[in-house]
Amino acid sequence: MPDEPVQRVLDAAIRCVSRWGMAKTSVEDIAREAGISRATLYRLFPGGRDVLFEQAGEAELARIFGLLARDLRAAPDLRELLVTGVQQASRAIRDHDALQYLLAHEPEHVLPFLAFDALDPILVLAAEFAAPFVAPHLGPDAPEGLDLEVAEWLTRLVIGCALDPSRVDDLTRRQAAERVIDRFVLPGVELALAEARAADRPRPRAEVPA
Amino acid sequence: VGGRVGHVEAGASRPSAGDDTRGRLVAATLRCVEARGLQATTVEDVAREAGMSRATVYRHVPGGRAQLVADAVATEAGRFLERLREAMDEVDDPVASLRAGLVLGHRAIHDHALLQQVLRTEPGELLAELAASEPLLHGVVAERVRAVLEGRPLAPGVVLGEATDYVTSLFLSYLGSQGRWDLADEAAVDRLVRVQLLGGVLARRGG
Repeated sequence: MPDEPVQRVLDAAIRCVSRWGMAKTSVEDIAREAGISRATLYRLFPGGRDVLFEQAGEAELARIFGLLARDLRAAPDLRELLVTGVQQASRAIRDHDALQYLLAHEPEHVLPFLAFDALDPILVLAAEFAAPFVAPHLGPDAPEGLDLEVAEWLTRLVIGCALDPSRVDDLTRRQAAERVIDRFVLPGVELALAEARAADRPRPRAEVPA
Repeated sequence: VGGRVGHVEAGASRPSAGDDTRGRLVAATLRCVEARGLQATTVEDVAREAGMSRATVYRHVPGGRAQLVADAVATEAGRFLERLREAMDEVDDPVASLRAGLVLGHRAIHDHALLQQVLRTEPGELLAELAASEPLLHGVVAERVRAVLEGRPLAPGVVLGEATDYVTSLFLSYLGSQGRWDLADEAAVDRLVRVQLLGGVLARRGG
């Protein structure tokens, strides 16, 4: 958890970006928004503007994960967990003013983090965040790593939909989220569980009497 | 996406007709970007590399630098799409077709030295340009997905159009970023396709 003045500056940076974008936001703007002097800001962020924006992005991701964790913890079963997860994550992205400003007006600042290999660390981070919420609902016989797999799968559905405004199955809507989970995700999870059970159980014919 | 850049013109036999000028300019642009970077590449550089005057370049490519870059990206993207389509066309089975597309597509993206170079050093302009090819890529994949699913027994309640959208979207997600997966591992990709892409789409055999 960052200390209070640091967090105040990071929040101020996000507010500035949601108003004017990144290109037009100066260190002075952020200092003014945070109610501190330029000198104090540089003492808190000796790396300057770039480091500040990077940390602001990381802090936002952590904040969103924190909000999601609350919803995921409350889910009574796997279906509710998956539906709530994709819906709330999609909403968090849709309602994030700074991110939406950048996607609409300054995509060159966000796309490099979302395209090709650059997305991998975000997928891994999100999967590792969500997996512990998925695991208890998969049952004790679930194959190792299925929790991470399902978590990454959901992350991909959310990101794919969030970055494509033309998508009709807007996952911020409960009904659309339910449909994708019921039609395509839960049957896949069941198949993975069934295959793991079948592989675990020795086939009768292959059994050699001792 | 041919891996090495410059092979368009590298051979001894060069097509002679004037309608190949755009092709020569694309090859020259790619070589310039490889040598000095995307932002730093100018119309003058490309003209010199192609052995043409600046005026000739502008006559064929009135949009100047922006159009040269757009042409080059569109040409490389078109090659990639052709290879992807071929790989997915080769087999009729949905699992095999999607697996082949993911394995080839991932490898082609990773082996494209120039693409990786620009992504590492100055991705901004390239990504904006690639976004223009996205609908084309989406269209090719969706068309192939629909073709391999058509006529197959689908799971109860699953509609072809909806399944096509779902599979296409997830396929493109993996094609771009492999995340925790190793898309060079055919067995892993096979399992990925069966469980995540098609697990809820195809009717189960035998129940």
